[in-house]
This record gives sequence, C-alpha cells and structure tokens, in this order.
Amino acid sequence: MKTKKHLDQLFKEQFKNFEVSPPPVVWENIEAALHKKKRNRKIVPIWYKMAGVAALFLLFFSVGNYFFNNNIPNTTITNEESNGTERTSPQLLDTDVLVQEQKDATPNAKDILKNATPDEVQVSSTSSNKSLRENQGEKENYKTSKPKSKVKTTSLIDSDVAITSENKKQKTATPEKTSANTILEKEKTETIIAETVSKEIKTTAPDKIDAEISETEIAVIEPAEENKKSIFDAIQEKEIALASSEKQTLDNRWEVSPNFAPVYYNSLNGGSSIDSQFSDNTKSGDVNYSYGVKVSYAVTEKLSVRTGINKVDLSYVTNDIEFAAASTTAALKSINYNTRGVIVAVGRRGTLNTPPSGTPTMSDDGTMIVPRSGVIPGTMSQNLDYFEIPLELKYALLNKRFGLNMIGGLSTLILSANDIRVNSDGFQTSIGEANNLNPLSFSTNVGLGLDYKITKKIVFNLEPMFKYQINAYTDNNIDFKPYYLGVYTGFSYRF
Amino acid sequence: MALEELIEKCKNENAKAQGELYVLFSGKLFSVCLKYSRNYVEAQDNLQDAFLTIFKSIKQYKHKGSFEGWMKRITINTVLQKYRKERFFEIINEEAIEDPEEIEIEQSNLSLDFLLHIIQELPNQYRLVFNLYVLDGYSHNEIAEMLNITSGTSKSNLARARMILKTKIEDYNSAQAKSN
Repeated sequence: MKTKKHLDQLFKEQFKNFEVSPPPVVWENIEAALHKKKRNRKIVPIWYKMAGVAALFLLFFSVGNYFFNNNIPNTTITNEESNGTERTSPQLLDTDVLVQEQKDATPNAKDILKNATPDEVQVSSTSSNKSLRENQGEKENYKTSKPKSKVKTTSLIDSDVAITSENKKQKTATPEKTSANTILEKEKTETIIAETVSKEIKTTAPDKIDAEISETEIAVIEPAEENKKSIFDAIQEKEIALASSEKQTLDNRWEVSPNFAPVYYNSLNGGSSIDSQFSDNTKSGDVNYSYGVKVSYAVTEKLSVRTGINKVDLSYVTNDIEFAAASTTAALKSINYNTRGVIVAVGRRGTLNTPPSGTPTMSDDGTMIVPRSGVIPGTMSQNLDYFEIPLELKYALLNKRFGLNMIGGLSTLILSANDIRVNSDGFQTSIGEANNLNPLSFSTNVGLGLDYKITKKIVFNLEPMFKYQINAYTDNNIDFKPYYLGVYTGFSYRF
Repeated sequence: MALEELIEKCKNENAKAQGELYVLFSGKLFSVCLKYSRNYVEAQDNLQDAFLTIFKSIKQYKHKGSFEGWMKRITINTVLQKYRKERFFEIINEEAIEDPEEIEIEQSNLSLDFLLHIIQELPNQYRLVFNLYVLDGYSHNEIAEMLNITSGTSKSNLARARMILKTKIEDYNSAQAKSN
C-alpha cells in the first residue's frame, strides 16, 4: 500500500490513540516517594518529642535533687535540737516521757500490726546509718525516712503536744508510731554518745556530726566525706549561724564563659543541599570556627541553665564538579546568582555541556556531539554564617575539682550570610548564594562538658558538642541532613 | 468513583485515591512522556516526576477545564523543565531553512514503535518543538514562550525536525524495499 501522505498527518493519526502502560516500577517509586514525604513530615515532631523527653528527664533530676537537698537539713536539724535538749533537762525529761509512753504503747501496736516489724527494722537501720543513708541516696530509705523525720521533729519541738497527739495516733497509724518510737530511742542513744564525746563538739554542728558518725561506727569512706560537705552546704542555707564555717558553692550561681571552638560541618547522609545532581559527589566537611559567650545560672548544685550567643561559620565542599561560563538557562534552581545574563554553570564532572565552540556533529544515534571547551574541573564550597542562640541544660555527673557534665538543649540559628563558591587550582570565585536556606532554623544539641576548677571562681571548660540541624533548608524533601561538631573551649568566671 | 470525588480524595492525600488516579491516567501520561523523552527509561523518570508534581499540586486544581488537560500540561512542563536545562548547550542550527510544508512520504507499514523511536532520536529541542506543534497542537508563539525561544526559532526547529524524520522514514522504507 503506497499512498502519499503529509508527514504531520501521518504522525497525528498514528499517535491519536497512543497509550502505553508504564512499568509497575514507576508506581512503586511514586508510592515510596509519597510515603517518604509523609515520614519526613513526622521527623520534626519526633525531634521535638525527644527534646521534650530530655527536658522532662532533666526536670525530674532537678526536682529529685531539690528534695534530696531538702531532706538532709531536716534530719540534721533535728539532731541539733535533740542536742539542745541535752542542755535543758526539762525538755530532755519530756522526751524521755515521750519515749516511755510510746514504749508502753508498743505492745498494742505489735498486736495490731505484726507487719510493722520489718518496717521497724529498716527504720532502725536507717536511723543508725543516718549520715550514710543520705550519701547512698537509696530511694527505699528515703520513702521511709521522710514521714519519720516529720514525726520526729514535731515530737521533739512540741513534745507535750506531741505526746497527746501521738498517743491518739498510735491506735490508728501504727507504722508511723513504731518508727517514731525507734527513732526516738536511737536519737537518745546518739545524743548520749555525743554528750560523752565532748562538750565542745556541740558548738559546731559539722564536727559534732563527724563525731557521731565515728561513734556510731559507720564506715564512712572517702566519697561519703565528699558528699557530706554538700549536706553541710544545704544546712548552711537554713542555718545562717553556721554560714561562716564552710565554703558555699551555690554562692556563685552565675557563670560567664567566653568560648571558642573549631567546628566541623557535614551531612549525616551525604546528599547535596545545592542540587540533587551532586548527591553522589564526594563531600568533605570543612573545619571553621565558632566563638561567643555563654551565661549560665545554677538552678541547683548539679543543674544549670545556660544561654548566650555564638557566631558560627560553617562550610562544606562538593568535590568533582566542573564549571563554565554559561547563560542563565543553565542555572541551578537553588542558587541566586550574583550576576544576570552570564552565570557560572556548575555540573557533575563530565556532565556539563559547553556553549558552542566548534562545529557540532551528529552522532550515529541522532544526538548532537558538542565540542567541549572552557570547562574547568574543580570543587564547589558552600559557606554559611549563623548567629547561634543556645538554650541548654547542664547536669553535673561529677562535680569536684574535675567536673563531668551532660549537656543537652536547643539552639536557634539566625542566618547571617551564605555564599557558594567554585574553586579550581589557584582560582576561586563566588557564584551566588543558596536560596533554599531558612533564615531561622534550629538545632538539637548534645554534648559532654569537662571542666577543671583552677580556683573557685575560674574554671577551664572543654565541651565536645554534637549539633543536629532541624530545618536548615526550606525544601523539606532535600536529601541533606546537616550537623556540626564542635569542641568548645574557654575559661569561665563564676560570681 | 466519580472523577470529582477522586480528585477531592487526592487533595486529602488519600493513598487509595492516588493509586486509582494513577491507574486511570498513567497510560495516557506515559505516552506523553514517551514522545517527549529521549528513551523509555527517561520517560519513566519523567512520568514519576510528573505524578509527584500532580499529587503535590492537586490542591491547586480548581475544577476549571479538563482535569486530563491539566495533568497533561503538568507532565509536559515536567519534561520541558528537564530538557530545558540541557537544551542550551545543544547545538541547534537556527538558520532559517525553507520549510517544505508539503513533505509527502510514501506510507508503508510504518509501525508506531518505529515512529516513536525516530521522534525520541531527535535532538532535544527539535523533539520538543515537533511534539508541541504537531502532536499537541500548540502554536509557534506558545512554544516560543514555553521554551524561551523566538517563534522563528520554533519554526526553524520544526522544519529541521521534519527533515530528519522524513530522511529516516525514507531510509527505512528503502531498506525495507531492498530486503523484500
């Protein structure tokens, strides 16, 4: 069949009902990409959640710490008061009476509640190891000691009232009563012991307790001694009279730390923030600098909150690229070029076509072969300058002359400058700036803080930190997860 | 499911509806991709990108005009975007040539596969212009705007595309004749 036909007509007719089913792999990819998008959207809340969990964790720590510190003064104060009773015999008699009466009541209590016995045993052991107990910080002991110390103080301060009220209580609240009973007995022995040791001891509480500890034969080892100091610190907060005798660390709640750090910037998963064509190119993170100042406030002895401002310079290099002068049609969409009209086109090595420079030839398969010239191989670097405002919590794991701290928090990053440059041997030029950077972004920070206290006021800090950027780029689908590592060093001044 | 309902569900990112929409239109859009792309693999990539754009921007579809036309425009734009990047560096002879409006060829049993193949083999810009003008009915002015070229260039590109296609068909026919 040979008919003459117009070329356009031939194609139009042939393609009129042209329909081809794509291979299933296309849908699989689309589906995966759609799901990935959804998953990406959830990543940010997860980070927020994690930050929330970390904050809660630290909050619990600090609250626990608060109770921990409060507990100690309570018990020690009672000791003192019981010492006071030594001096004034009428009160001492009262407590004796109280003890006697409670002893009388004990058989009843035992009949009513035999279960109380183990509790009692625990109580007696706790009270005998009083100082050690706090040092060890055993939770179980806490639970039992807390209500007991209350009973103890009331009974000692208002012993007369306590006798009547406690007698009433005895019928209903047996465990409390028995524990109070044993504590009183214990304290009596303690005070007697203290009395026998020396009269002088009574004047200074720390020494006195030391004496008690030694007398009650509690094996106080070195770390316990350390902690004892903090107990005394806590006492001093309440007992101003004793303030002069001990150094108080929390006097210096504020701390100012100028710091400096080399920072290394890179992406967790490769990728490229500039264009997806560079995803597979090798990248090398660059080491730049961050400097600034932090101010921290010690909420408790172990926990401090800090903020400040840091200037951060970050950069990374995309290797194996080539570049050439070209017109704007070759522009990468994520770059705002410095110049209009002619730009520096950048591509993966070997992919960049150049503007006409010779006669094109057509290859066998119908594509044009273009002579390549003016293409320069090199690297491309992206530089980012941020102002960083951190909000971090620092928790002391070890707080001696050498300190060890855990640091966690968030930073707000304000973009101040950004620049994309291409580099070749001896040649470097800025081609423009990235337009897919968020002016305001965040990072989650974790790190370790090491410090050395040169004097009480001056501390040397060394803090390796890992900071993961959350929304550095406006394009959510970008395959680039930037982070930076920094080792912050500096001297801080406490006041 | 009515198309309107399907579109609404796709706007709410309903995965099942997205799947159905794909089943309904992937054939038509893949044929567009095949014509505009250089080969089968690139056509697949382009279809994938086009559908992702469609699902992303379906919220902006206001039920004005044909939905299929809207999707087709997105698909064509996706392909154009892809080849526009490369187009600049391709050497296109823009000298005006006489466009033999009356190219006539002897129609033998030219298969659709063969015709598709020779379209795909055209240099990027020739292929885009030929597709837009001949197969999708855009005017030279529209093409000029879409490809950021002049309408004269568009006309010249079309003429050259026709020449190449004609030559290839003639070669093919004579080869067939010889073997017969």
